[in-house]
Amino acid sequence: MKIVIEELQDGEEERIIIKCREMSDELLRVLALLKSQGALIAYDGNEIHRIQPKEIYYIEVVDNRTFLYCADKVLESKQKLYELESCLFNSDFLRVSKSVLLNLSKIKSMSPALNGRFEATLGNHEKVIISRQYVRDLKKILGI
Amino acid sequence: MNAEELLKTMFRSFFVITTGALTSMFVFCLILYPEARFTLHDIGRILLMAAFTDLAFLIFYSGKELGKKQMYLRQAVHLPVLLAIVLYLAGRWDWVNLNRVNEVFVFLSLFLVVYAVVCAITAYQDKKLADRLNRSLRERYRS
Repeated sequence: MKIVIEELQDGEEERIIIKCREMSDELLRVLALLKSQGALIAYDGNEIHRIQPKEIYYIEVVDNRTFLYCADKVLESKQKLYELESCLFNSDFLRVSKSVLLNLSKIKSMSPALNGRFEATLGNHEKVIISRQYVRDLKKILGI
Repeated sequence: MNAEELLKTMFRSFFVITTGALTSMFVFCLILYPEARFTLHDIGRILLMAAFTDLAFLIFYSGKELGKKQMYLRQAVHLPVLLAIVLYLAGRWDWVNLNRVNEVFVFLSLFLVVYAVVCAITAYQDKKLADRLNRSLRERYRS
């Protein structure tokens, strides 16, 4: 697919024009991504939710299923953890263990958890373990 | 602790244990056997003991990330297992006469001191890092 970016003249409105012969699945995904404006699609049973990343405390994979933990609800995502990780790249989310992506802005405090690991207590009083091998990434993000 | 992390920990610990064992043996002999001489076999046995005690770290193996309490529980099991391994090998290789209470006492005391020192240093470093992480998090999300 060819992507063309044109500079606008003064006073012209910003717009996205899609030129295609037919709406393919790829195009539909791109459109969904544009419409969602950074929101993630998650499910609660048969209900579909659009959820902003800032509402999510952490994302965890349990038995190959991906769950988004919010303040008062847990939703399921059809996306894999690595897909969400790349979607949330450059945000407050950081991989803190093999199965968890943590929203750093939701951390209330941190304490040691033996063997170079740390335990993050979140705003909703849940606790998440930060694995030793990911502590380096956390230090880098926080400029330590 | 997953397999990768466990292997890294075991690799690091091997050298810590070897250093600890050498230091303990030096102090032990200085107190009880100042005339002692070490053979090539003894050096091999020190390395072997480090390898055996290193295996006790398998207690921490878990496919899932262990919580704080689970970790403390496993550490509580780890210490007696370590003591049992060390005492068994020391007795078998005649480093300690298990029939002499004072020898066993000094040997175990030295072991516990080394264990406590290693734990204390690690805990201090982790606490310091946790404080820095908390400070940085507060600064980053202050607004």
